[in-house]
Amino acid sequence: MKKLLIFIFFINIFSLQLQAQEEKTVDTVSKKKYIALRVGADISKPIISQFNKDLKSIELIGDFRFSKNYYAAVELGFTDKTTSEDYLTFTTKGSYVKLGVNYNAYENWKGMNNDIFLGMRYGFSHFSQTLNNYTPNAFGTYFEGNEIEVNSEFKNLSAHWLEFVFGMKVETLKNIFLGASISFNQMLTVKEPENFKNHYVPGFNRVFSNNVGIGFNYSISYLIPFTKKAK
Amino acid sequence: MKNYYYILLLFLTLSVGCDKDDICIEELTPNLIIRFYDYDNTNELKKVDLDSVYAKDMVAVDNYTSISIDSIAIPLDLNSDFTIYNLSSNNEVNQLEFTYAREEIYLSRSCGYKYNFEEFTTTQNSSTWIKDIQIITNLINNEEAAHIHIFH
Repeated sequence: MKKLLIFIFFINIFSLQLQAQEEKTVDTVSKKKYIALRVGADISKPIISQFNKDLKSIELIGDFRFSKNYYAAVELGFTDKTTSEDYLTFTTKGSYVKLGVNYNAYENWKGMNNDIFLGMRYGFSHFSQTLNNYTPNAFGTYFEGNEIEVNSEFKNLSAHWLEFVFGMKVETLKNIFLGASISFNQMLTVKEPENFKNHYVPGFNRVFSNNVGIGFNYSISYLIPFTKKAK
Repeated sequence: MKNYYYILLLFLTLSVGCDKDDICIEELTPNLIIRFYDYDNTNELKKVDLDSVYAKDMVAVDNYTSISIDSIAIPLDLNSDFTIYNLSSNNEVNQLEFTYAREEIYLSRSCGYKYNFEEFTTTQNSSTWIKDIQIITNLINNEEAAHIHIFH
């Protein structure tokens, strides 16, 4: 799985380079009209934070169109999440960055400006894990463990991962885009706390037992009209 | 254009989170395993006729009432560094006190933590039908073999 993802990642980069080489022959005027910068934020995360007191998160997004179908994409975020399991409770706090490219597979009609994209991301997070409490687990009910308040914080943890992203962006008002995407995450390396485990990583979300994850993103972004369209 | 909104809506409904998928299948906090041996012939297992086995101020442990048996597995108190057990055989109660240090071991998301018991020792608070006790291991971290032998 990991190898496959890395393979796809390199294919993507390779095809990107091919694309870049092709572009060289195109005159600069027509190339310039593709250049565009969009900035925005995830709209679902602040809303969820309002209703769920155990989750506070925010994410800023941006992408930069550098050729007809390719965008350089970045996401920056912060998460503070308390997770309750049957026998323990922990709080994850930290920030993350994701860098990568999107390939727009959608052929727009003239005047339209929508995306259906595939993308890859490299993600990095720096975070802390606090074990709030646990209940020692034993078979049977003869002696049952009491919940123990621990509140031990594991600082300076980090994680690196790859994401395969699929999503879309739709221009709803002029220069305003609504977007939705889903990402499939594969952990590469993660620094684990001692005698505990990272079950949640900011940006990666829940770490499933086979080191994969899934993410959703609903965004609103604004296209900054900083270049005049060349005719 | 309308189609996009439908697909966007589909994505929104997909966001309903994933439920807990892990089930706890790990070995949890080990029970104390006691085997009963013949005092006169220390290599021979010897069954004991147990009336009941109960921790101090508690009800009897299931499975060990009015039974003839050569080994038992009993839980230790998770909230204390000692457990006092009464082993009653033929209306004679023999009281044992187990002392230990609890070491928490992380297992998994669904199991949480278990305890291993270290520096395990046994003392006889009263001596009736139990003639001798031998501690096999000071570290109770599994249920694969006996932790103490009792001779009677």
